[in-house]
Amino acid sequence: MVETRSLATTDPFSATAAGAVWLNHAWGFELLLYGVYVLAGLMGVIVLQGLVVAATFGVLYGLLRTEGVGQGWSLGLLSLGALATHGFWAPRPQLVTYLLLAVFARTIADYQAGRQNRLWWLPILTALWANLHAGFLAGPGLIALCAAGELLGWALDDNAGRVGGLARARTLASWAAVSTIASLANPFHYRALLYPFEIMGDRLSQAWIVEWLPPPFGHPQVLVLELFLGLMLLLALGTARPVPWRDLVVLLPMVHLGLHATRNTPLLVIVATPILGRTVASFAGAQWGRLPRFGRQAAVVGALGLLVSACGLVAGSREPARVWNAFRPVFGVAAHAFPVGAADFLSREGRRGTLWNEYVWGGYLIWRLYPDLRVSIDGRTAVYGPERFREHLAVVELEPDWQTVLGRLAPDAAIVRSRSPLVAALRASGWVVRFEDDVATVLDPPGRNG
Amino acid sequence: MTAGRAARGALWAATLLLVATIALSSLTVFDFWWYLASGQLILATRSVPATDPFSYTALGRPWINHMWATQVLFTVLWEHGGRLALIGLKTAAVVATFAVILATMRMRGVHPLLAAAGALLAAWTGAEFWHARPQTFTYLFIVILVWLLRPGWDGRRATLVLVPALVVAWVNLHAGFVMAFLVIGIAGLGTALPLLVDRAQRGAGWRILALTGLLGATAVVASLLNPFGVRAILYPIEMVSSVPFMTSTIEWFPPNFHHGGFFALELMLLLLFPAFAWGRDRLSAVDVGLILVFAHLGLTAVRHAPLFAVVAAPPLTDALQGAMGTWRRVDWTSVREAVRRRLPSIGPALTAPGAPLLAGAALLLAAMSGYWTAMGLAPTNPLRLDLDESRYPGRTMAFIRENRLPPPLFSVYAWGGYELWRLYPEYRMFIDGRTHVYGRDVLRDFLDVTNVAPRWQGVLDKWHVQTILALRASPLTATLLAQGGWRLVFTEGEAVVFVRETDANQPLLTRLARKSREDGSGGVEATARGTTPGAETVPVALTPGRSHRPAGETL
Repeated sequence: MVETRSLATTDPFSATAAGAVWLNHAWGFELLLYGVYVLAGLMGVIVLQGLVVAATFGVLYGLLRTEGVGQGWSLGLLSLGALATHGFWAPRPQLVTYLLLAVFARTIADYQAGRQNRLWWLPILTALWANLHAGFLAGPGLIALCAAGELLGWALDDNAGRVGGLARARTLASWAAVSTIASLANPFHYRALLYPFEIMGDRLSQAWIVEWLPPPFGHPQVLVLELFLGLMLLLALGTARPVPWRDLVVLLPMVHLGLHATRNTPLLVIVATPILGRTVASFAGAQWGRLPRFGRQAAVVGALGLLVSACGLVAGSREPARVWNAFRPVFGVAAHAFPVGAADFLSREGRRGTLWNEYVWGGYLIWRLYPDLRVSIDGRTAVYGPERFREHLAVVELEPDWQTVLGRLAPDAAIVRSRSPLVAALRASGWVVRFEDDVATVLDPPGRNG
Repeated sequence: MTAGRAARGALWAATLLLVATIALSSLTVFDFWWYLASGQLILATRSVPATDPFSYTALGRPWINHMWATQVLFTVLWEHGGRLALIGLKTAAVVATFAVILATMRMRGVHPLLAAAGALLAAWTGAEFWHARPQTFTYLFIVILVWLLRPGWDGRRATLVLVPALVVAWVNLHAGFVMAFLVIGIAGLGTALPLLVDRAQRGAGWRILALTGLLGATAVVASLLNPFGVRAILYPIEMVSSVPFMTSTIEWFPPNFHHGGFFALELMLLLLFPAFAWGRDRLSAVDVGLILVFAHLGLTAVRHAPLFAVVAAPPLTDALQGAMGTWRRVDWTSVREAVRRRLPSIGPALTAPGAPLLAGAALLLAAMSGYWTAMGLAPTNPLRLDLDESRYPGRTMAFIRENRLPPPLFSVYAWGGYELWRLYPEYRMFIDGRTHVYGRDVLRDFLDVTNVAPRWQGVLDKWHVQTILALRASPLTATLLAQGGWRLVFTEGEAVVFVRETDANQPLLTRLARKSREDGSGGVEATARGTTPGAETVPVALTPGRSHRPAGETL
């Protein structure tokens, strides 16, 4: 974009989808990221990432405190949320969605509680959001959910919960509509609104891309998410007043999203944290004060002990390394996750042409090898479409037609996970290994001179 | 009998018939076949084998066959009544499970319509697990145990007798008996805790804790009454702590909520939130403990989803009734009067005390009739498919046997049980559903070959494998076809058979090639063109609902 001073609307990066329509919904974020990278390098990107994460949790902390949640509880809940979402805070456009969703949650909560009405911010923020990440619909969606919550709360909550519900529902519904209209202010207009639905309607990528799969319950980190939800259930048993329906209406669709896709975990945590905070505040008011000081200390120590024991026993006893691997911090480009050595090799060799590559490495290889080498696939699934994605899977899964598909693509080299069955199959088919390390293997097709 | 009781009876009968329909529609998975082989062996030798007789990779290794009694029962029924007798048995067990659930709901005062809805939701949650497998007994026994440990259990002497008796039967039918200890612990702690925090009742709390310890100890002693003694208790613990086993067996994976089969599980989980918030007065500490513990188990492994469903259904339904009770009340009396006034001819019938229940029963019966009418001629009719060998590569087994393909045989995990049933004792298995018998090394060997890991050829050489049965669309087949050294000799639907090309096997390969050319049946020529002639074999589902792993082939 910087070089051409224009927004590409067709794919320039791949060998398989060259010229296909590319709805680059995250163009604003990409420019921002590139600008930071040019000015401050990879460390600048990491600092930006840290700032956005800190801002997101800062907004949530402020909201919790405003809702009357004690300092200790607030920090505890945010720590739990941070553990549950560890690993999601990568420098991707999703960061914007997380921050703005927290801002939306704060603004709506302030309005619902009668503290401050700043709902007019939301359409402006939505317009900005629509140029930074395709998750922008989460904003108007949250407003609409809160409107539905107010409506149901008016119908079902106890008397205290009903006051003013209908009026608030009307106001929120109006702002949801205005925000949706504001989201049209992007280079792709209404097509940007349809884009998230296209992605979510693509059954194939939903079934095969790890971040779209449901959370692997039993994993130490997902155990924290489970604890987060379990805590919500347990505290709901002891609140002064039952958790209002207006909160349940917002919470349940988010739990649904969280159960369906790992990538929705941060959305669930961000939206559920204020609800959990209100529940905690109500619980603490009703039950916590009854306990003597020693009892409170014992409860905190017991809860912490329970958390540690649960994580340790359930996950650690099976494979202690999993606990560390789940939570260990990783800075910069992780060499074990990306084919750094293989990309160095291809670059050193001055290779040109087309590549067959693993899906998860596509973005990295574009960054390292474009324009000399063009990838077969990368994370922009909408550009490639279901048919190209199916072809990619046919090769990865060694389906009966895998050689035909690969022959049609006729790549100049393949870059494959070193321990994948595909390496053995390619070798058996006469492909020649040119480079190999623990992460990736580079193979040339039969007949290519080394 | 009053009209109200008759109407409730009709509704519950209709509910149980629909539960039976759901159970009948659940097709039994692959493990079933080796139960028959094992049952036959036990009946023939009049003893329970303590070491593995079926495989060549674990021959002679200890085998804790914790479900020997189920296998004997299945074999006797199979030999005398065929598959329909077994389908009848599993359906009866599932219906009995839900009869206990309905009885528990009635005891809790749940409205019959809500009880029917809750039971059907639970039946739907476990819809893909109501198999002719020993687990089905665990589902039944756990609801009986929860019933025995209902409020007031500490004052009923019968509990102290019936619980150990239940455990004795359970331990010989399925390893899920360890759940009994969990339920006893939760029931004991859940009953004692509210008393312990109340200074005035603390003594009673300690008494219940002591009683729980006694009941638990009695249950442990009762569970020793099995052919393997204490090893049967240790076995489930060993199994769940085995990393290779847990990370490679699909039914131990977490549920994949993309799959429609888990929609009901998700619905049950979501309903917990309004139930805990607004129906909390109807939930005891025991209910909360059971729900949360089994929800965790259900989220961690798909095979526990039915356990969560059957355990959580009564308290969840009860709490939802409590939640609905907080809504602004509808004045049903005035509604009834209005109906009678406006519809004088049928109004009295519509507003009779049992009318909603009868209407519910009629609706359920109509739904069930519609389902079976639609299924009557359909090829997917579960009554035709369940436990039917047409879902397995039967012609492949016949081909291997008739042509005496050279052993040892490497094969597909999902077909291991069926192969064992069809090919033993002429052929022994590389692996089958009894994963715990094989241990981590054999499991790793199997996965390395299936995943074509770097040492896959070394593993085949190590075990001197001469014949491979593989899935047609698999990395192993693709590699064998591309690499050579193995001759494709037969295909049937999803199954392909390779024989190692060695001098010793050459006469057989020549004979098979000649035979193939002469009668055009099976193998070499046809498959060289990439087609799959032969019988249409319904692919065997490896899992109820496709669970996922980020990478790597799984069992």
